[in-house]
Amino acid sequence: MSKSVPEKNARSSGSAGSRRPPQKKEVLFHGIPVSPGIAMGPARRFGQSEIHAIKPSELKRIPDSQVEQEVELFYSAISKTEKELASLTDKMNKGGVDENTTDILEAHLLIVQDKVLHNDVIGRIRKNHISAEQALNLTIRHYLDVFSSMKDPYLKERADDVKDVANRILNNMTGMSRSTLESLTDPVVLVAKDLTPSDTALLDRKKVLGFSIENGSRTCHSAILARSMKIPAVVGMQRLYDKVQDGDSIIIDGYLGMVILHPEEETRDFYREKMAREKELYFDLLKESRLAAETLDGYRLKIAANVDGLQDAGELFSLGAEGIGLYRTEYLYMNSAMMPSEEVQFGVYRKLAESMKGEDVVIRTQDIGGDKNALFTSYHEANPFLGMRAVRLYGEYPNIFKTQIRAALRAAAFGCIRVMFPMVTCMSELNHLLELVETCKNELRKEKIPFDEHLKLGVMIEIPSAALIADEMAKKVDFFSIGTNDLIQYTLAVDRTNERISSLYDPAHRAVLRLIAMTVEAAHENGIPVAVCGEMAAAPEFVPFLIGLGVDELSMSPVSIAAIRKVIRRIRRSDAEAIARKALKEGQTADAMREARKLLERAVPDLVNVISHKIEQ
Amino acid sequence: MGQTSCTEHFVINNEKGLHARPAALFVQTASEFSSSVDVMNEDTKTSADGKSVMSMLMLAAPQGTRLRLTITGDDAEKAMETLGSLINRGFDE
Repeated sequence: MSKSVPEKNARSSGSAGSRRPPQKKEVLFHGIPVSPGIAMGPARRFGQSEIHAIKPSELKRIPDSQVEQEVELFYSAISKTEKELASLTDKMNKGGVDENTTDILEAHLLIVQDKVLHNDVIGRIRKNHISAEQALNLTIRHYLDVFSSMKDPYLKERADDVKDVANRILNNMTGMSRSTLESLTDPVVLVAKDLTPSDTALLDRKKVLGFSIENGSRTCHSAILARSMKIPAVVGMQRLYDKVQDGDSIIIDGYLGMVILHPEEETRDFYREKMAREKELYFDLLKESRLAAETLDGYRLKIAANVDGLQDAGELFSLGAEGIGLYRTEYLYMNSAMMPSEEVQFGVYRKLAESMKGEDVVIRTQDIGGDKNALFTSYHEANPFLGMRAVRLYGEYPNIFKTQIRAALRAAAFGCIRVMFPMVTCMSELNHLLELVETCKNELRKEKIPFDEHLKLGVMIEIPSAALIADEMAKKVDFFSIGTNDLIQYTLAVDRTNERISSLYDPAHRAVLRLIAMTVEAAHENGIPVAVCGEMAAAPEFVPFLIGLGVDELSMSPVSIAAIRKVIRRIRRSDAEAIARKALKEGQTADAMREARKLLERAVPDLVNVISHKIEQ
Repeated sequence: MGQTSCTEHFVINNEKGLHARPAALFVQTASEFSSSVDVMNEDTKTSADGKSVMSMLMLAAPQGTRLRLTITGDDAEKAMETLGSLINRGFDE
């Protein structure tokens, strides 16, 4: 599949660097491509923060108004670290660890609580007007310098204790609000062990050319975000992090899922050319972005965008979106400890509706849980994807839901807002949510606040149980939206964030296709439309399946819209239907898959060659 | 009133010197008293706050280091007795 890469690159990374040659050797790493595009630039590691030397030129002066906030930040990191160490000591005591180990932890605790340390750090924040993070770094570096000048080997080792403790404090500090991600000055290629969705949401597209992470899968939320932010990304990139140093030259190939460390000049040239070709193709694709997404035999689909609050409407229109099929509201919550108020949400939704100029905007009520956590919920569950997630949280926090619904009802008076509920499993859940919506309407009526009486409500079909009773649900709501990522994960019992079983994550599994077919049938019998808003909608090779199954709307990352529109405009619905019929038959799914690929190779050869990385696998 | 100050000299005799555990033990013990505890490394002439572990670690006091303890406050004598004994016992190592 990597035939487009120069021969000399097609070596494995296994034998890399037993002895380090003076010129660093080009090394190739393979992972999973999750967000298309190419990124080339200096590497920047992002992982557990470590105490490091700061050059005077790197010191950033903070405004007066922020000084006391930084002091507070330092103190809260201290108290967090204290708790962490206390619980660690506790655990060790229970585990019967020898006394020496717990003594060391107690010594660490004393360091954390040490007044001299506190005063040194806070003194630096106040005197030099620098962040708590930088002040801690400077203070600890100073201590470490003293240690390294000591002659006694035992005492020299104390530096490790201090460093260990300081790293703990540092991580508690950066994990809390700002992070190194926000303080990037020049564009870099991020190489991380892991990126949480909230880390990813913080990325500045101008500063982060692309990223690679060690964990993750195609459908983990960081991957989805990368696509929606149009940042080239590769996940499941084992062993890379430890081999990279800040500033190393690196290339991320988001099409083929590769990372090239220390690329030679020849390789860099090759990729420069590839980037140019990519731009050209994309430019070509966009030429059709105002044309209808209609098959050659006249079947009209709607193409909408999945959005998380980071894109503006103008950009969505220029990419060819005919509305927003999924507005993820979690990102309003994830980086704040507090739930945004009704007024704040109303403002956001109203602005959104107005900017979309009469096109539909489907707001998904919050879907926190699973791999997306908000600071105000802190459940520790063995099985978060099967636990307190999305609508299941609404029972405990009814105001989260009501606040959102009230804000949406009010905003709907200003544009085409619709609302859908994620993770619904049964009728009583759905009925309860619908009742709560009525309650909100009654309240608003009483308060004489204008709102849309006829706000359209939908249900996400993303759990097999919902698909299996779609006929009952269809009578209660105005539309369905199939969330294929979760539907696949729950149907096949495959954790979508677990890379070890990623080969079992099969969108073309007949069980999945049957559930989609059932959902479409139930919807159409009741005269309501069905959208697909999962990743499947953005994968060219599955478009024939979805069209063939009768889906009315596809909603996807804005970056994928142009390519999918082109696929739709180049194929026939009748061919797609034949493929879908075949795929549903025992023993013929693989054949159908091959036919879909052939169809694409005939219909959109240029796209197959450059954009679609999965076709040849 | 009742403020006393006393000074005494000691030698660190445990093998590993004043590393994290002894320093922590010293600080914990010193903190039980209200008196202030000043510790001076007589070899390097650097001083430390006997109630700060960071400060004590920075003293750089391996085995054989001569220390001068100056304790000031209401319970200075009792503190000197307790801390002195701790050092002389080699921090029970």
